[in-house]
Amino acid sequence: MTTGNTIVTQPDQRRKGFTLSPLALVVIPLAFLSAFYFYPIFSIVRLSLAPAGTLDISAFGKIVGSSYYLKTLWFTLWQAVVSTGLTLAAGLPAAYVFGHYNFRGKGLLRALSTVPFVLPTVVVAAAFTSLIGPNGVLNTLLMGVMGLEKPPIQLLGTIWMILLAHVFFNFTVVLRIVGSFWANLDQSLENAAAVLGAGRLRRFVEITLPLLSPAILAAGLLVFIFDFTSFGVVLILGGSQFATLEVEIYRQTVNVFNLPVAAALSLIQVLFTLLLTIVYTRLQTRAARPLNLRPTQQTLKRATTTPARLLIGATVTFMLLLLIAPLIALVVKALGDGVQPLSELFINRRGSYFYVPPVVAIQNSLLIATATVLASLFLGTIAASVLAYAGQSSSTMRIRWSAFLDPIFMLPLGTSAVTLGFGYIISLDHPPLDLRASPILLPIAHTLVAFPFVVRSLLPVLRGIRPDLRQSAAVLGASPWRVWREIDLPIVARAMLVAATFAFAISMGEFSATALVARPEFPTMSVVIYRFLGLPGALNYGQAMVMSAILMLVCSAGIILIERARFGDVGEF
Amino acid sequence: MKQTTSDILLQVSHVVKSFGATSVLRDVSFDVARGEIVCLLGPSGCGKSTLLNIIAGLEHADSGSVFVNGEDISGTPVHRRGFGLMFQGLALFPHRNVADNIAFGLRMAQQDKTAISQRVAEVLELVGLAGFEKRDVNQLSGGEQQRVALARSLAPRPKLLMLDEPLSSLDRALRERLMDELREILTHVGQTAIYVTHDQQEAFALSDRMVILNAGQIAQSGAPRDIYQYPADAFVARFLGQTNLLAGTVRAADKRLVHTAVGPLVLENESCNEGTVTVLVRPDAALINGEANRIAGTLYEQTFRGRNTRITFKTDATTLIFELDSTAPLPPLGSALILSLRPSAITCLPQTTV
Repeated sequence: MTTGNTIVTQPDQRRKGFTLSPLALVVIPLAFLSAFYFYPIFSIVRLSLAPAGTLDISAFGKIVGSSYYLKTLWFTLWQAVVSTGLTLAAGLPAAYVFGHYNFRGKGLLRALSTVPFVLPTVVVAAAFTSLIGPNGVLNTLLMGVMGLEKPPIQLLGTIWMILLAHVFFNFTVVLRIVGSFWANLDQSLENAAAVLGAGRLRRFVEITLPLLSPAILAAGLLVFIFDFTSFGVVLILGGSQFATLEVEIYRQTVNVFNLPVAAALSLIQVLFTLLLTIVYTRLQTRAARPLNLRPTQQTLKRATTTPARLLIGATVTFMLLLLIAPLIALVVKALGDGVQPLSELFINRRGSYFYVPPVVAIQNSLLIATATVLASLFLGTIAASVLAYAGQSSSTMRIRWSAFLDPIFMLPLGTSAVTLGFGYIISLDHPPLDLRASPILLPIAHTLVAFPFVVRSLLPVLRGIRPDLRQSAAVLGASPWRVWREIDLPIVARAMLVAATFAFAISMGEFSATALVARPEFPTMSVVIYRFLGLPGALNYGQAMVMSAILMLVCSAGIILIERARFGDVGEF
Repeated sequence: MKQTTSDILLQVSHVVKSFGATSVLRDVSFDVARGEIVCLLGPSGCGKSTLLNIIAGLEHADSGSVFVNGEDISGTPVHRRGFGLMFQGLALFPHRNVADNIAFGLRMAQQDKTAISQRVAEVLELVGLAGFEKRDVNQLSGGEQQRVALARSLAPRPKLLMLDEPLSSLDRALRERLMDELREILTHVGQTAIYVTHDQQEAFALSDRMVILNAGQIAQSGAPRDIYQYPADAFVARFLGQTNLLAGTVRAADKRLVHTAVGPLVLENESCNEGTVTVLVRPDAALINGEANRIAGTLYEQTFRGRNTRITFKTDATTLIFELDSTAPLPPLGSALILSLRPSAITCLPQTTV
């Protein structure tokens, strides 16, 4: 912008003498992060590394000197790289199909693809076990059909299981972020390349891929951070021979109570995330181009040719197999023991203090999720808009501080949930922020995790809006707020829906922080599931599965509802 | 333009296309000769861009074929057709600099590096952007982007270059300058071209032949001068800015005399059929002092346009627009005026619909 803002603020300056730049709004997300991220993290690190008031960094020495910790770090790194690669490879073809075609059941399939993302790891583990475990649906079927003695699929406890689960979890991230960006790409660029003699493959490699790269980078970063900080998948599906940093932090904190080492590992993990995000931000700024983004009603069409229909069919089949089959197996398993677990769910047989009627748990979860969606959209939209506006600024100072802010906004995602949970417990239970007893702590914790997702979902689209659109609106007399409302919002609306779905899903499924900060009298669905799993007996396990199935259902319904949403004249773009 | 069959590069034959219930092209056929510049002219929504996309291979016709050198290419994919297309929105690759944009088609044709950079420099010179190789396409002005797009489509020496309203987004002065340059560049390299536009000035300036489309059908095709002088019907006449159309009757006794609402008009030629006709009076027909075809009315409006003055002339029956020599003495606005219409500037349209 040479610059939208300067042009916009000039008339105001004449009227009032001085106006705050709209970019100053950035203090709102920054204040939020300071209070609920930096302050708790700082508290736990101080408690761990400087309990007596003086800094003791010998824990770092222990880590660097130990081949065990180095091996853990190495494993964490390479499994994340491979997982991210596989997720991208699996997700891109689906993103293409979702970004180019309308077909029956598309909305439902997209909503269903988000369900894995929200499921607590324990449930995912149960789903995979019930599908491809030694006694799972698939192995039983194959053994019967092929007359085998032993189950043919033996993935549990192998690295393949971890990789598969990571793809299962994060598929939707690629599908949504890349898919919605792809749907907005200007088709005429590819057409131009075709007329100039480029075949299908060349067009993809030379034109589409580079133009998609901001979205691919954004999705890749999110997936990588998720895999890098993976906890439940590795702990439960991988078995004891695999450990990521996050698993090690958990062990050091909960099992060994070695807080200094846990804090040091936590810091190393944060540092890695920071480094990665800085590299990413550099790449992203270079990759982002002013694109002539199109409304999707111009780009999405029904499939008319046979290859296109086959492609859609293949995508749908693949998604059903990868994403839906484990979930169906889970439901089958949940109902396999008859309706007893289902009916038991509504009875407080032992008159327990901890008994929660399912409806109450659903209500609690929905309430918290709604608050999370609203809060994270509010904070994330401000943050993403500021980053996009400042990034297009002519002033190098602005570009620089946006490059500095972006990694900071991503930090909560790469931070150990265990560390953060402990940070909350020790820092937010006394003034100035005494929130331990308040139910508001939960949506705050969830917002912290959802916020980076919102920023990542919105930023590629906001950056792709040509500055001259904003400038022309400003010249036509629109105030900065009106420019945002009239230009940015309609174009970014689709991405905001994507972001809202992520925020909703994260809140519904978030478990680690929830377990630590949830109030007993305000339990959510994932807390109830975890409680059932912690109790012995087949009936309790069955109830956990039924509750998981209900969680799945409520999530799908919520996501479908969000995707149907229209606000004012802002519809699906 | 006289042509033999071997001169024909492109033949569009009975092309039909509809999108859902809307039929966009209804049986369109025309030829393009080697080295010829053909303008596809028509109001927006007449199907001209769709026709271009079908020739390029970006869309497929419901029926009908496209022939190049007598060979049906309907089954050939876009990237094997060896055509050039300059898009309406230009479609410059935002992630490539000027040279890489222009080199794209050459690289697809597997040319070696030195040949490519030589050709890039050559076409940049041709479009007047020598030395622009390393520039970022996003930073160029509208006119410069236009030239880069032209250079990019010219670089691989396409058999046929198609231009889809390439100048529509430019300001008038720039458009007129580029129009002349474009004509010069295209004829200089002997480029066969199809130029799509809705602007008749562009079409007149650029084309050897015009094909006028209306609602998915060819209304008329021919040399610009012929079409301007003898439009086939009222649509073509109006589209080319000729609005003086009168209903009239012709009797068998004298086919050069048309009876109209403004009085009897004498024509120079015998273009009229007996019965009800539509007469076109060209804007340059009127003289202040003349003997033939004198009609009475009032001077309603006048606009000075340099050499000519455009007047709105009201008779009891209708309103006519004329362009008079600016030296002609005009009475004040609102006064009565008698004009004489030159018989050579009056013609009957072949089709009578007004």
